[in-house]
Amino acid sequence: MLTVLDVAFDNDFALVATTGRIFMISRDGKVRDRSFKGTPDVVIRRRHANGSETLSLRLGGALYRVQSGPDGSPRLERAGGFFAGSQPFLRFGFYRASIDVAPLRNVQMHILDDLDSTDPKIFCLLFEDYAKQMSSARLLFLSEEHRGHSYADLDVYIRTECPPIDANRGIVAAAIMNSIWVGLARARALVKLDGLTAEHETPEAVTLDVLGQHLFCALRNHRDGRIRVLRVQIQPWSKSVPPHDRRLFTEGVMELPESLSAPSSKRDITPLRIAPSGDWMVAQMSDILLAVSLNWEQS
Amino acid sequence: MKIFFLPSVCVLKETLLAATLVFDLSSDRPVQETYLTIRGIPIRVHRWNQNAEEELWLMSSWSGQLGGREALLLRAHLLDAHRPGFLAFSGEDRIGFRDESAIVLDRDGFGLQILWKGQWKRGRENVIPISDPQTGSLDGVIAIEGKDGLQAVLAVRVWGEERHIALYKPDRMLMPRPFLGSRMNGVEIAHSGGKILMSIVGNIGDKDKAALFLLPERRVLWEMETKRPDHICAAFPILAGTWGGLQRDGIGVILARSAKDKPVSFLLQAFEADAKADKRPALEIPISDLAFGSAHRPLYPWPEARVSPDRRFLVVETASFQCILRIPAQGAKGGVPC
Repeated sequence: MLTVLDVAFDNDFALVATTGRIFMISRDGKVRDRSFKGTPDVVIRRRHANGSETLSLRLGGALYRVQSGPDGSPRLERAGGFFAGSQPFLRFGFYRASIDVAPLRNVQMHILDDLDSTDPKIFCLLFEDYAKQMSSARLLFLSEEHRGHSYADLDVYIRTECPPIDANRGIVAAAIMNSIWVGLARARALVKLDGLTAEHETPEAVTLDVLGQHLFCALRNHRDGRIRVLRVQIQPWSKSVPPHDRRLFTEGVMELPESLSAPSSKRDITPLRIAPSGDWMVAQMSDILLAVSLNWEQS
Repeated sequence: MKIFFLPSVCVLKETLLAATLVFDLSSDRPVQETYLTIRGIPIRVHRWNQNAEEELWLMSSWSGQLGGREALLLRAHLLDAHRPGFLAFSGEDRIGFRDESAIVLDRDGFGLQILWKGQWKRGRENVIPISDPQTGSLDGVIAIEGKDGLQAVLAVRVWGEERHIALYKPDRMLMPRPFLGSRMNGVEIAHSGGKILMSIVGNIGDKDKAALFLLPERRVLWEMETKRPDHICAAFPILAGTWGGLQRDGIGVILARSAKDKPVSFLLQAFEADAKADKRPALEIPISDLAFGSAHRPLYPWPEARVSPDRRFLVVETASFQCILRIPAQGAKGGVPC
């Protein structure tokens, strides 16, 4: 089973990092890959103003960016702009933000870099190991103005493999425990979206759209294993309409590749991440990566 | 959890857990929101000339480099232009008071420093440590502002089942005996003229007590004790002529009773502070009108509760449930004399 670290979307391609291998997957499902040596201890997903994303990995203390090579296959290119100190007290920084943290046993960092927003704009998930099951982690909000301090430090229980967390335009969204939580980063607080998931459902993927107006999420039903995808309007929520209102939710339709059209397939896939455009997502079926189209018109 | 009343909302915050519950009290049907927020030691600030409103602050502290401490002082508020319940925390340098007194983070990050009249002084009466081998760990802080500025600071300390409240005044720190076994939720404040009334609820073993004090002298004006099945879950000071038809300063006490297979019942008794020896309540009001949650589950461990500053709601919190009850308005109009 692949250990997926994260997925970033760049127009019609998704970049996927796993332990030991990087993938490029196109919307029509074509997959190219390349292996690498080592296990990344830092994964950085950056979101740019035009909605495109980049993915970088730290290997042996140096940062590498996942890029498409001249032959159309992915490759790792050396990139700068990030530093992190040595154990036992881990110090790390971006731009002019930095912080010391007491070490966990075996720190993996997962950083979302929200370039388009005002402070705080770096969201850092610290945890011990990549795992498919939820485990405890710390979610830090870092700011350039609060050098040496975290802007916020939250204890969370979250899946650390391809963590279901996103940040855009000052809004943070994450699937923590069995719920989806959203908040304004500057408020240092996330509110639980009640009424979104049923008792037997677990959110597996969370993405904020390009404009920060909608949240896309994939929920798994534990009774029959089925997945459903929702689009939630969060703009009215941030302007005083409670998030419980079911009219703010739209259910989408997943269109699996034709080779997987058997009804059982919808139970066997694991949604990894939905694109900020909302019209496709990358999912996993054992060791296979899939491009799944999402359609919001028919609902 | 500790209960706080910000304008229009009630906030339930745990020291060690990140979860925070917020109830919108602006309507008659409170709605619950659940938040993930920063962990921290809560600080409740009672201001002098506000409408009995209080402020919620947090001291968040963690281990930094080489065993040093990092700390932040945060103030909870409701974000403008957002729905009434949207809670936010802003970073601040100090909690300031009208006489230039302030509460700030201790320099080494291991506690809070009180600057009486703005003066930096070390010593026991000015520093509230997060942990203290004599008295246990800091569970919460209550700062009380009077007409002339900061009057007193209460530090709630816990060690296992043991509880103390330390009283800080400009010249000294003491741990008064009547404050033993009390919790942060058990302390309520009311102002009048130049005086500050404070009620405290304490639980030791299967005995509960409620007491009314005059601050800053910490003179006991009135006290009562109960035994099971009655449990004193909350109390609040009543200034003469402001509530329940009481003509003298007094205290409202909320008793919780739980019989087998029966829902919990709550009874409000109001007493005048200088009532004669028989201590008969001046007023008795059953509270049974649920606004949120249910009180059908077992009432153990015993609940903690607070009455909202406008005396409209009783917020009850136990390990297994939260509920909010409406307090009948007759209390405000004069109630039914016993």
